[in-house]
Amino acid sequence: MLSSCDGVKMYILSSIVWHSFIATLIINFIKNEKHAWYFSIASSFLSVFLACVAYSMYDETAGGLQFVESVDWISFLNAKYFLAVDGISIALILLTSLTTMIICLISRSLIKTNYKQYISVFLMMQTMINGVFCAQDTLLFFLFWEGSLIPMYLCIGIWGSQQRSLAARKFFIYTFLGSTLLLISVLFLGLKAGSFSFSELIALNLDLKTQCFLFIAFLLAFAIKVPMFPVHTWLPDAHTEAPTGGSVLLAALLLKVGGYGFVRFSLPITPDASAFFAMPMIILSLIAIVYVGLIALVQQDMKRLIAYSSVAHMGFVTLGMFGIYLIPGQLSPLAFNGAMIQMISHAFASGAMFLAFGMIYERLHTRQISELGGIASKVPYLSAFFLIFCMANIGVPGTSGFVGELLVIASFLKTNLWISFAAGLTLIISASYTLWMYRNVFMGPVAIEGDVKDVNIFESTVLAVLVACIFLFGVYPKPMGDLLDRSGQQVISQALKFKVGEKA
Amino acid sequence: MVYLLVRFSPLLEFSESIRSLILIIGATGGLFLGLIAIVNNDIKRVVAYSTLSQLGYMMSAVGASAYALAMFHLMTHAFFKALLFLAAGAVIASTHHEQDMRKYGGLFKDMPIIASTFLIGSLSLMAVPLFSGFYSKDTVIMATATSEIWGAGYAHICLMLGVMVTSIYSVRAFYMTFLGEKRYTGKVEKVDSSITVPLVLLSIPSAIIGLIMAPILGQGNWFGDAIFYTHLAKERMVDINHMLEDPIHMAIHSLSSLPFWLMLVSSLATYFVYRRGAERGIACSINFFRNILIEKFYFDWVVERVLVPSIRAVSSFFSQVTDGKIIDYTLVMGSARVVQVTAKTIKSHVSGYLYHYALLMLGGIGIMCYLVVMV
Repeated sequence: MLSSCDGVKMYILSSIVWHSFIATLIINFIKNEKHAWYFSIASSFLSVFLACVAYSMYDETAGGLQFVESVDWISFLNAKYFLAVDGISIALILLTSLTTMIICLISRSLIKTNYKQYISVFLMMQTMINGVFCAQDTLLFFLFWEGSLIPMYLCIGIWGSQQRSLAARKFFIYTFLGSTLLLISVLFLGLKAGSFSFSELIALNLDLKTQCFLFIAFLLAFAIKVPMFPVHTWLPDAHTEAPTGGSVLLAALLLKVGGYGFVRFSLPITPDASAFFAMPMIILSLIAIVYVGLIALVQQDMKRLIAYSSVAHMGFVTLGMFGIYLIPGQLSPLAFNGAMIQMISHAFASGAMFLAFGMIYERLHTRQISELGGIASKVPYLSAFFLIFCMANIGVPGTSGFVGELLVIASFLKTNLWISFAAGLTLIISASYTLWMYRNVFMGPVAIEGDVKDVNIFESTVLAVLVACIFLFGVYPKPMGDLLDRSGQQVISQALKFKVGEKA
Repeated sequence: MVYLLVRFSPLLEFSESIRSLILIIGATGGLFLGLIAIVNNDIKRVVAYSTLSQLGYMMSAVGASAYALAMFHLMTHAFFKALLFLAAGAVIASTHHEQDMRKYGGLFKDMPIIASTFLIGSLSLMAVPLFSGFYSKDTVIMATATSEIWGAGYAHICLMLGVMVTSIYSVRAFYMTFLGEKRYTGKVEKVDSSITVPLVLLSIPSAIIGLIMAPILGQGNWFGDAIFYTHLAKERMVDINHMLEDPIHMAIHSLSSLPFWLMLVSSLATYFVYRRGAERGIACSINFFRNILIEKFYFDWVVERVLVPSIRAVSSFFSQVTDGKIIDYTLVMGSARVVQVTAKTIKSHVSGYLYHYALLMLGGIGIMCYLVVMV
């Protein structure tokens, strides 16, 4: 029994990463589109299964890197094919497989042209994102990181709406700019350390000046992905133009890759610079929360509104992450865990809103809030689901959105009341824009003529899964907390292990 | 909310300034929200504003460290206000969803049970001695008198005036609905026992729960450790508790107190004003104040006309100017345009003619030679 368990542990990560890649290859040879759909669902169920296996075998109390796979890859650079996960990665892998499953299930009813290619783009994407979460070698990380750009670019560019080509180019070039700086800094660090693995780079001794340069390079790469203010303007365009699946994936996963990058690069490799820049980062996060929230208040396009609300909510992730430098000792895990939980819960709330919006768009073919109105009387079930997602987005207690925001706001209370206050403003602002949108779209006088069919049993099952996740993590966040806790503490201890002696 | 504040008594007891704030807000609300009820013609709105006014009394009690009295008033108020709401609802139900009191008048004969229960609720609300509202409200007013924190004097005056206001709107509502000439033109529906029985049942505690509870509360430890008092606050409560222990004596004693006479005078005055039909003249003579009250002190107006538009204007500015023009158009797309323009400019130099390249090469060689010679 033990040996078979070890065998699973040795190859579980490779199979999580590569099985969907193989599925991508196979799916293009399937003639019948319906069969291709079945196949993609099978693949996504397999990935959920594998992720659950990894979760159940992961030892939460020990934390740290587990399921290590290490093979030589580019020998003259000493770069390795090095996969391993900690609790944070496991949580995000679970999220990835769940999101892909939902996208696969729902894709058939939303996309009519080039279906096989469409679904293979998402399976490819899953490989890349899982790769990012598993890679423990920075070059390998970079490979997956860049690899995730291509499927997304194709997704927006081919299946997007009217302005798709501009949005796709903007998305690609914008994020590529950040990645270039990431590549340069990775090469610099790797050649200096003689190895590209994270553990070696973390052990590397760097003076403050070098760290600051590296931090800024990392910052650009990850801040664009998160996205933080003021490099967030690609996101509303990309979201607006992307097809439903693309929007869901963008909101639920691609933004998290940016936050994950901060956790793996900025905090442990350049701790002094992170501490040095902590206050500016917190201010940028607060600007994202308040200023971008205010912008969302006046959006006329429903998808743009949800996209801006995404930016505002991701502000909590960076806020909690860099809060650990301001918050003393015992409370700092609270801020960090809050940030991680916010990443996950935002994926549910925002991803679910995009998904439900996709169903509205498929029925009514408009994104303008002014052209919709009173559709609750036409699609009562869909409206009920959407209301729950809105509540999760606002962060009503009992939904997943509440947990992360509460932890981050509460952890700042003792350190700096004003930061808590500014972050707390989001409770009012996000309630205003979300409920304003809900009122104008679902309530009020009916603006749509003719009959609109409500969600069918299949669609409502998919939405019900998301509702279940939202309430599960809202009411009982302990499993997620346990999974993140030990690994979070390890990241914090690395992030607070200053390399330049006393803080400058 | 009152319950929450009472629960936080250990915190509040240690912050005099916060209690001052609560006291002032509570007393202001107790008086001024009651004033709005005077000018309202919707029977349900009158009862609703009266609720807000009574909540102000409870908050004042919390501010004056009389937490037990706040809970006491909360309880008696729960009975008589539930009664008033139900009675108002019964009136509305029997008049075909008419809520405007100007269209009622003289309904007493049509609905004697509803009218008498409404009267009991009103008397309790007005703090007529022996009714339950009397014990809770008068003690709250006394508590503000004994309190020594900043703003207690103001609060005491506000609550005294509030007694007048309460009597005025209660008598006004009762008179406009049940007395005077009948202005209601439609047929009055009979309500069945499913409405009248709860009304009668509620009117019993509305009348006597104060008499029953006062001696129990007067012993001073009804809430046990759930409420925290400082030593000083406890000492101040001694006199009030002592009075509560003998409710009949308290009622007799109150006949010579100021709140009772304020209540009596203002309710009689209101009654006679309406009896004489002089209310219109009075309303015209105080038109300016009346408008302020009808507009609810312009709070809604400020929110709808000032606050929301200004926030939306700021948001639009952020959305269109800072985010749209500066960040996206100028910085992001601007840098893309710079690249485009530069590329176009450079492209014109790549002509494809051999002699252009030859010339450039010659120039390059010349510069190199110059550098070699000079350095």
